[in-house]
Amino acid sequence: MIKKLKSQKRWLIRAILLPFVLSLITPYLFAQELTVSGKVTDTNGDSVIGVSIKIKGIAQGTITDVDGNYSVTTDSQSTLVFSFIGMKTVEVPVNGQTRIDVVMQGEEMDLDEVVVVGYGSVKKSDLTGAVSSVSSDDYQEQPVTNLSQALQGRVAGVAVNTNSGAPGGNVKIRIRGANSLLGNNDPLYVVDGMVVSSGIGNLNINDIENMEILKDASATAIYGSRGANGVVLITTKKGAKGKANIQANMNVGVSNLANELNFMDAKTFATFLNSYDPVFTDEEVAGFGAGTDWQDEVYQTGISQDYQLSFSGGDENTNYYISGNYLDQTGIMLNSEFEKYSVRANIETQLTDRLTLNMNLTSSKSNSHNNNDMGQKQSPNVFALIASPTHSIYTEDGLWNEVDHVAGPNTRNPVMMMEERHVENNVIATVLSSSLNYKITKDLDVSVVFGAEHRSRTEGAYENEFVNPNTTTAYLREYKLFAWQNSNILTYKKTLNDAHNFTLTGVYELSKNINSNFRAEGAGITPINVLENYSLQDAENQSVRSGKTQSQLQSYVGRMAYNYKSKYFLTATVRHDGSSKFGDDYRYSTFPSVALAWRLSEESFIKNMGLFHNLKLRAGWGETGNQNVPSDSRFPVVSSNQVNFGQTSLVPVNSYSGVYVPDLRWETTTQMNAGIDVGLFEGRLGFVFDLYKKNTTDLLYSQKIPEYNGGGSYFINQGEVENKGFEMLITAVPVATGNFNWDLSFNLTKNSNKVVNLGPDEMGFGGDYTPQMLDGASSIFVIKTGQPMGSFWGYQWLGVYTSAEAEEAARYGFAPGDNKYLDYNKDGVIDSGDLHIIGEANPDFTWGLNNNFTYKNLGLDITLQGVHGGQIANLAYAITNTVTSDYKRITHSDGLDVWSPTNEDAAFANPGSSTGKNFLNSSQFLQEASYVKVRNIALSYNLNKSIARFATFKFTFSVQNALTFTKYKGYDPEVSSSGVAQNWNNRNADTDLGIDIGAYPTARTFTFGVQANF
Amino acid sequence: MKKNYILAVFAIILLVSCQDFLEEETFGRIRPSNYMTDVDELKKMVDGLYFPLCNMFQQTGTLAPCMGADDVTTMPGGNKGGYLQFDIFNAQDNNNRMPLMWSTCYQAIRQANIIINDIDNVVEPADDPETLNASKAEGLGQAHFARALAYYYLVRIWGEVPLVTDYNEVDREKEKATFQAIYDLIVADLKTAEVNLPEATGDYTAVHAYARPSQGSAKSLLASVYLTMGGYPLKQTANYALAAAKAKEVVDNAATYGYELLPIDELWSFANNSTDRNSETVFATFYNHQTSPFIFAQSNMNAPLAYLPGDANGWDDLFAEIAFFEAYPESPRKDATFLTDVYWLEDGETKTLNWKDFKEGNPYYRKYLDVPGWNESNMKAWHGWISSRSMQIIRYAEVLLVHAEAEARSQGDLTAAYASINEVRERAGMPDLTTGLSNEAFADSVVLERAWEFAGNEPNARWFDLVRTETVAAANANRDDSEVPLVGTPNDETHEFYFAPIPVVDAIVNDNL
Repeated sequence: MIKKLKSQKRWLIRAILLPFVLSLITPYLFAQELTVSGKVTDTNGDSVIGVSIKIKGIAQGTITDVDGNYSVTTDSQSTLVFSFIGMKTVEVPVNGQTRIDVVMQGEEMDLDEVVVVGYGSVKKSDLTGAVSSVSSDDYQEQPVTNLSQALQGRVAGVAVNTNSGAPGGNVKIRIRGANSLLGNNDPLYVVDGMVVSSGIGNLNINDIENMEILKDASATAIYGSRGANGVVLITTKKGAKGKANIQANMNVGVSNLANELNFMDAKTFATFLNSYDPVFTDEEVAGFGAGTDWQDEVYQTGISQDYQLSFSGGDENTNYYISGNYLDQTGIMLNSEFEKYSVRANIETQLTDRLTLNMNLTSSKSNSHNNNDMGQKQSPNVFALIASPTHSIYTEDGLWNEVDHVAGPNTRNPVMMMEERHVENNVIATVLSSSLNYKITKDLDVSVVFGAEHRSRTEGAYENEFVNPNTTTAYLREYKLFAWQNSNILTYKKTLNDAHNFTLTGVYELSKNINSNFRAEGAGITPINVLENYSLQDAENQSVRSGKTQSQLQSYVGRMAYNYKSKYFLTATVRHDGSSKFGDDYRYSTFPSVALAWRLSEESFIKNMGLFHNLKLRAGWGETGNQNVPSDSRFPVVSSNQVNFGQTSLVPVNSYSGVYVPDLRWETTTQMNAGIDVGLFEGRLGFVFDLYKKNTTDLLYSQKIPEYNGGGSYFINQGEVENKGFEMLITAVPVATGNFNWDLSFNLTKNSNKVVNLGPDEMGFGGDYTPQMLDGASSIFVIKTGQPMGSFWGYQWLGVYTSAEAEEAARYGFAPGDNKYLDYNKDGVIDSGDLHIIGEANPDFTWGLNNNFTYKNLGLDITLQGVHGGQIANLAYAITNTVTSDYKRITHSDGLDVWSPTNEDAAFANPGSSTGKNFLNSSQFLQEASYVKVRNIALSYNLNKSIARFATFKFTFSVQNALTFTKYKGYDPEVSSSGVAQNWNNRNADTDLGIDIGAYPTARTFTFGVQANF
Repeated sequence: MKKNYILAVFAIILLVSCQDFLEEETFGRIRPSNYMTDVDELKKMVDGLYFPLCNMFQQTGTLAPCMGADDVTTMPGGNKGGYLQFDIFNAQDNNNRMPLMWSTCYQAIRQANIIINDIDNVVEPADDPETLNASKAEGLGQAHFARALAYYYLVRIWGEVPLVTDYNEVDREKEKATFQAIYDLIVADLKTAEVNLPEATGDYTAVHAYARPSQGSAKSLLASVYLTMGGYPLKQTANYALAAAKAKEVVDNAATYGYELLPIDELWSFANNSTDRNSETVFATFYNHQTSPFIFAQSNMNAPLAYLPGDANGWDDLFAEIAFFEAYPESPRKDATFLTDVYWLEDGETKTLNWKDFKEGNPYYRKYLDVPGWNESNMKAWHGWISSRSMQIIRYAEVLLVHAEAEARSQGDLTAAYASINEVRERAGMPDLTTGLSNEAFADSVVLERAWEFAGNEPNARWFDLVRTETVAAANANRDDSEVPLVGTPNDETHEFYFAPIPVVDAIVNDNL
């Protein structure tokens, strides 16, 4: 019933939205058509050949001939856009003219662009740090629905990993590797000057104009204690002066599973199983056919829809941008959906000549239905991997066939588990960022920024008797964040003697985050009430938990940017941060940085060479921090728990754990960066290269308390991690004629990570993804001095003992057909002493290649992305191909290749052996993670205004995740189950990379899009 | 004019700025500096003991290290490797089942240490010394009892282990304590518990008294500890007399403590093993799987699937060794102990399968099978794997048998010893023990009686008897050929395989273990 209501609601929204879009199309605009011609010359009076002349808003146009002449047919109210590589673009309104001559001026291509840096902006040519930019133009051909898709493969030094392919799924973004062992290494997101504490999951990607990614310390140090993981500065769209612009976008897509695995059919499965463990009678085996194809049953075709409507415009004093967006995606797994609504209003108004007020307000609501924690031990999609094909979805009576006893008494019907689950995750987020800017003098500005953020996440779930056979349960959990920030910025700009350019910035900033949670849980529930009303009071047994934490930050920031004749640059910043998370003696810390740049292309000896359009050398050094521990971390806690004493009511009890660490303090990252920017051939070929080294010291480390001391952990500062590498960006315009253009951009990143020092422990472990399934270790991930984070800890698998090796096998208590493991410590037994580092998850290098071809009105956009090196612990493969402790049946077709006296050279050991061992934490299940993906292919067509007179249209057909080339044997080498670990303080940590326990694969999506501009 | 603006701006900045901005607020989180100052806070700490105590016996796996005894075995393969390692004397330090017992014992110890170390912090209500003193005594008594119980399991399973008595200790180089030091602490703890605890559970001022130890529980446990100290490894035989005397105190005052044997057909019923103690309970842990499924440790996973054969869709965690079953004397107790036939409904008909035709070919234990929804005529119908059964940690039957054995071993009152063992045998539907046995033969008879009485890896496991009487190898000599063959060879002279390896979780960080 509830589902039906929900889908009705959805249709209602579509029904409202579509006519709305159509109604905007109906006002039919009449305009007069005329032919405009003219000549284009440069400042020397020479004619310019091949200048592109386009009618604004549509791609159609023409180019100048050998004499610089052109002729184009357009309507009288349009605007012509003249562009040519290396020259400033000129826009001329037609206004009924038939002759328009244009003089084009040379341009330092892209270099006069203004780039937003923390608490201010600079000309791109004046940048001293490593900063990458992504503009909405870069991905406009692609139906991106979130920020990570826009960044993926596009920026050197930025790694985007989709942990889960679920709609609205978890994404991990890392800038220049991971510094910290703890928590997450997410970059800091700053939207329109406001630090967004709750991440960017709810941000509408269509509202973004520009993103600047600050990578090196000289750029990030201005964010001090939060800058260590890099900073993503996001600027949302603004209205432009002139006629109102109305834009409507619609994308509709279908998604499916990009790659299928091979499973046995029922007859093969039963015959094979009987060969080593007689479970079925001969009659039963004879009766089996194909059986149930669980993979086919749990995956479906997903439908996605994305509608965006925006209004923008402005006059002399005020400009506005107002948008609304609706996104709906059904997952490729049964009974899963993601839905999001968002609105935004950006308004800027000049109150007086000196006073400007700016207000950006956005609000969104998302609802994620059944997209929780796929890819862990008890997930329904893991059941789908290991369920017996002999098991049927329904009984003969048409009821759920609940338990797959052949696979094991805990294996529940995966289709039932998916269809019967009810897990809702709602997020309502509102972010306000406002600023008041006052021009005190010509040179001095003061800006007061106030921002506030409210985010409320509600998780509700109901487990009925099918999902939880022990007792029906439900819960409602609410997590709230309220954060505010006040920044007061003074900016002083001065040029002395036409040579010395100064920009001085001073900031005083306060911010506060308040987190609270409320959790109500109940058991023994009448389903109907819970589903309709979340009325947990109907539960026979109820329990409540709640909590609140807050943290504050007080900061003083200063920056001086100086350049001499735009040739020599110096930027120095210092930030003094105080955090409430640390004790009095360690509360404040100072984060300095300095950067130098030399723009050689301004020197006459370089200019005279006539080769370099741009040539700049950059070098920087700086310190940034990380304070990513919960409030109160330095104290032991008296924690709360509950005991029932066998009754139906719970008694609150207390426990005590932890250690007082008075000197808990900041983690500090020191980074050095050296870079070169080269522009050749009037800017048609660009090259950026950066070399960096980051050392993170005083690591915030979760120190384990020995079990005999009661267990648990506490935070200390211990150890050091190093990241070093290089990144390279090549941009080129190989072809630029009026009709045909080809732009390409290629980026390459190499980062290597090493744990330099881990204090006296020398070794620690990552998260536990497989409770009690690993032999000898709590995790397959190890953190070890001298080794990278994401190292695998396990047994070295040497194959399967052949009959010829019977004697050697016997020495270890094994027989031919058993797994052969390396006796690493040579003590004659295979046990935990033989665990060692068997591999690494980190890639050697990654790259992205973006191609954009336009021919007249046609556009083709192709994005490729590659990851090379690194491994994945494919435990999903392990549990489907071998007999393991919790999953005792082999379902994958590869698993048929087992040892027997007639098949000595087998991939897998004899599953019927009583002497053999089968370790999951073994090199046998480490698989190559390298891949090359055709991320996106988009074909677009611009429909001329002269055809559809009232608007311009763009039609796009695109395929995301079109092709993947990989040797990986799972669904998708990109996704990972990391992030679903059992121990909370390692969730999403970068010590845990590349593990697949049935992670939700990314889908292949075919999208059709229409954009209309009125 | 300009200056005024600048001043105004700085005035705004300074207004917002304030010295206290970075002060922390804890929002109800309790700082250690201000905890456990009154009896209510003490009560929450004391009740916190029952979280790890419940967890200690919550699943089959916690007693995996006792699988080397001759009463239980398990299947090869599946997820039973952790049990099998102990059953066939091939236990590794990375055994995946044993850390649970290790960790929960030490969690209970830390919780007890908090109460014991900081009991003097409890000063309120100062104007009601009666309540204050009664609460402190009850709390202290429970803490000492819990710590003794935890160390008693640790020392019997792992032998010499780290001895921690300070809750603030974090020592990565901690050395193992000697058997003597560990047993001394256990005895001292129980002596303190004995005087601080209420005489019987009915005398508690705290609620849920049935789940708490009384003086009777402390004395019963102490008697058992003394008996063990008389055997391997300490072999301090003077303790047998102490055991006899302590057990006699309980037996003589059984009515005071509320101890009386149940009829054999009611001993394992759900009615007697759910939300209250039964008359035989000396100490038990209680579970309820309905309260909150999100507090997993508060439900009992021993019942019913863990002990049920795969032929009835059970987990085959552990079942009876054939030799043991066959030697087990026919009696009502045998019927109450073993599951020999599985019944289920198929196409409206009742079908049955005898243990000899079970996939594993062994009889199973039925002590924990009775839960609501359990259906004797359709054993396949049940799918839940957690229940609200309680776990009997110490039963009065054990006190009687400790008494009987200790009297015999200490050359004490054999008449009283006969009375005690015969009380257990009569309840089992067995004839009285042959009269006129030598003390040694009598003691051996009691050990055998204990085997029958506590068969099936009860928390009072047969394994502990085999270790203290140095008969591990002897008992395993009778292992049926159809069982999984032993890998290691236990030795009653060298005591090889008598103790479990220290779990790798701690062994890996502390080289001294």
